[in-house]
Amino acid sequence: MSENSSNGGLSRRRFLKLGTGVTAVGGMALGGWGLTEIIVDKGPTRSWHKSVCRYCGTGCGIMVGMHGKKVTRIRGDLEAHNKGVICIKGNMLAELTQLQNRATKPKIRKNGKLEEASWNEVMSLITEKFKSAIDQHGPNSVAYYGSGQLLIEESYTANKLFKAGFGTNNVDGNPRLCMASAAVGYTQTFGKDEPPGGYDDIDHAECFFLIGSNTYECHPPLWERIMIRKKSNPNVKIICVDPRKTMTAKKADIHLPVVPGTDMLLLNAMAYEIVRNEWYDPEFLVEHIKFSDGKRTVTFEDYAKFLEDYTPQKVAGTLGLTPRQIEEVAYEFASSKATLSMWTMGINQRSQGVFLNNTLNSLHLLSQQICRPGASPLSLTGQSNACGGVRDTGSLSHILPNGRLVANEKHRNEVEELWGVPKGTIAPKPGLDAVNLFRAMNDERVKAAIIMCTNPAQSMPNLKPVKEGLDKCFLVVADVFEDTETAKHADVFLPAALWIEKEGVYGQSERRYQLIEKLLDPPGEAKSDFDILVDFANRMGYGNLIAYKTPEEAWDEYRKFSAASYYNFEGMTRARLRKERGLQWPCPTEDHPGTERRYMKGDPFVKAGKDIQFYGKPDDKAIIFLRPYIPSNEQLSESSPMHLTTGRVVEQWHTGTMTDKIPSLSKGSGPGVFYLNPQDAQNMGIKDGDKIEVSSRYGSIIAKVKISDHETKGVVFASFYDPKFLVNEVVADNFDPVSKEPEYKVTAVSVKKVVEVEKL
Amino acid sequence: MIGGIVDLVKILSVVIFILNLGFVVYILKKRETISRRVKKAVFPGLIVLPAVMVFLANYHVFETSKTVEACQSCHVMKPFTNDLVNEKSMTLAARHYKNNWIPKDQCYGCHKDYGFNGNFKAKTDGYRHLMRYITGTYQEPIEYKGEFNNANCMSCHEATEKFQEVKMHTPIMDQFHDNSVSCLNCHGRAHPTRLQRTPGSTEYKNLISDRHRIDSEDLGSMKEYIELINEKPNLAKVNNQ
Repeated sequence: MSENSSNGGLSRRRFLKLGTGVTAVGGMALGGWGLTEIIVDKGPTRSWHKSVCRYCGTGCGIMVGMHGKKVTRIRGDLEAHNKGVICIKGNMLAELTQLQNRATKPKIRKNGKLEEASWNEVMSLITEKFKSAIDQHGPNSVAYYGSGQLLIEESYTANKLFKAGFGTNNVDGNPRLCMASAAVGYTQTFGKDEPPGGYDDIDHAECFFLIGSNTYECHPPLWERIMIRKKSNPNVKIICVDPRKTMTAKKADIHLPVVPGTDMLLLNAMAYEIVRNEWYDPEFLVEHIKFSDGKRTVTFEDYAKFLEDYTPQKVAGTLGLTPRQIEEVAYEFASSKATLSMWTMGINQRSQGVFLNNTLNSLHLLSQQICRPGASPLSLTGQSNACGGVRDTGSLSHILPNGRLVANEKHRNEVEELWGVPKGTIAPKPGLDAVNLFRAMNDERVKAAIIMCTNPAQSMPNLKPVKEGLDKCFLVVADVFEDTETAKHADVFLPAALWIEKEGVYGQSERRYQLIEKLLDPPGEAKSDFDILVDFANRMGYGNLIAYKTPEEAWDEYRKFSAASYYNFEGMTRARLRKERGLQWPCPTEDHPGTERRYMKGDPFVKAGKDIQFYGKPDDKAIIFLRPYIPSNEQLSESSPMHLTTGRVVEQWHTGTMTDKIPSLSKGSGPGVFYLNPQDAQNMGIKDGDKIEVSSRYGSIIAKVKISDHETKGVVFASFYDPKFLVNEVVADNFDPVSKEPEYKVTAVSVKKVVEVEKL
Repeated sequence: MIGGIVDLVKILSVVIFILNLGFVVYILKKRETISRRVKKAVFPGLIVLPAVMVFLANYHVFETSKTVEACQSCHVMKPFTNDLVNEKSMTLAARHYKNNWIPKDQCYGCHKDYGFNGNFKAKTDGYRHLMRYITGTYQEPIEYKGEFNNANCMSCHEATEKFQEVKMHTPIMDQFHDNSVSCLNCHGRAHPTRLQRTPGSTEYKNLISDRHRIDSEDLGSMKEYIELINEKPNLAKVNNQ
């Protein structure tokens, strides 16, 4: 081969030069690329895992970023129902996993002090005490008080062990304090608990009726979704009914600051307006609705007559509103393309909680604001697993799993058969509800109790007798921290695993079940509540009843159990829950996508050819109840001229055992204080920062006051997260006669200045 | 203002390139006969001028890459730019775009790390993306490596009254600044999600189509609209009602 190419004239030398040049340039380009691939900044996270927030009932999907065994980042899960939105508390979950002062050893109280012991020692002692109480005083001398934060598998196990094992229905928990009225309300109206709609309705609603809910602070991701909906559609109206001028109220289009305890009048007056103006569809009412006064079926005419006592003119004065405001809200509610009602504790924690829930459901049925996208009643839950873990598993003293009642023999027999225990095993009488359970401890009727994952010595109303009761019985407390108010009364303390240190299912407000996978080991000797309960069952001699050993096995048993009910979620296998971002029941088969809206087309239990079917009732008809307004026991008087109402603040959750230990959150909220309206403060000569004494007939506490224009005249507000500010010592323990949920929202109090800010 | 500079740079680059080309041809042709004085001009002609041109060309590329048009010219960016004009979309990007919260260069408006004044990380990332794209060594859905810089949000929002009235912002300002807490955590999806952008998903076909293509006419009309609004502010109020 000659040096010169015959056709190109390119010499070898030049070819080599050119080749080298091209190779050098190409090499530099590729080398540079390689370098950028090596030095790419991946951030502090090496793996991401889908999970669910630990805190409230919104049940936000989150992504947990990990580097080795450390949680590095928390991000909202963009693929989950919450579309990536979480709140400030969820943002701080990484810090929760890194807190240093966790309980790591089981302990027994000796000479007034909790002293370390082995697991075998503590479990033997618990078994001995429970056995001896049952032998000497019968099964109703023991009790379990659980939590809407335990996993479904844990609450299901405790419920089964106590009701079908020990033979006592003394199984209750903190959901009694927050959702019992909503659960009873739905069951009475529709025949089955849990809401017809879900969060997707927020994206379709044109009118939001927020009553007794400070959504902005208590369910921020849902508030953000409401605001996104409003920004995308200028026709959207937000109505807020709340005695306080909360941030929710401030941002609403219409705020009705009703006098605490009177809103039953408002709901009935709205119903009156709907009937008077004929904003209803007679055909819908005939086909799908029945009217009842609670004892017998009545006619529509009876209903209309009943409402005549609630004309806007008659009730406006008591409500602290004008008739025109009531008429306007009734019109907006009934005439919008789709109205979504959302409520929480302002409605549930009331002596008329069930009636209020009934009537909210009734407004939707009456104006046919139901069974289409955007139109539904939707109660918002306070705790992460109050719905799935407690309401659905039947872990309250009056219910059994999947919407069955203790007092109903057929229901008891169904459950006995499904659990494989002889007929008659489950006691026919409902057990003790929360308020009466702690009273029974005080009366020494309950001799031994186990409290898991909750802090009643801070969260119960009228705290003083509750604490006395806790001291009188043999008390086992399982928790993640040993410094809680309840642990102070424990005879045995069990260190528990927290959140992603264990595996199980959470069920949030819209019937969605989501799996939390185990990503970390619990510290020291801490164990999951599930493992504690399985061990306890074995030691008590019920190893055959609680035969499963892992949460997955427990889930499989419960999943199959559900197939015999309208809750049917048999299709939610563990494998599906690992893969999918939660599923909404009913979900009967493994290929079923879950049910967004119940009682309408798309719900697997609605018969083919029917658009709407309220199948929870034997005649497929939902009930509109005639519910009168009954004034609260907490009436104002000369000696108690103001209302005390309690609630949450955005940075803190429940009794603050977790959130108050996280610096950014405790800094954000500050310590617990009373809030007063400027007018009241001026009238009483109280300044911002003074110490005041707030007293009721239950107790009194002294604390600092903040003057805030968020408050309404005549109302004192306080939150209950601070253990140094036990406001529940003042709160009344009146409760709804049906749901037994205490009335935290209305206590008549007196307010007195104690120390001026300048002298502090 | 920036648009004017970029146009000037474009013209300047072309003029320098033509001058340089002419100069090189002249040198080559006359290399035997040209004087020492002219030879001295070879240095600025072959080194300085090309360097200036490369600099200007880079400036031009970096500046034009800020436009939405530049972003949507890449296949993998279509789901993002299509989402901007999807009237049903509630993503942060779509809401910012459709409400004219960012008047121009909307992509860059929230991704200010790149551009001529961008940081080294953005430059290396940009080069990596370019190489991946031209060699076809990427996979859909594309994934954001590392962490989105909250400073992009803060630069517009931090000083606003609306930002400051949210009391829960205050205790976590440090976490915002070190990106350990993301603004998106409370304000949601910025773009279509990975599942939506995965080929074969129900929404992928629509997200990748050319139907929503934003062309220079759209941008032009938007510019005109914004100019009009600046002249007649009341029009904006009418249109927003």
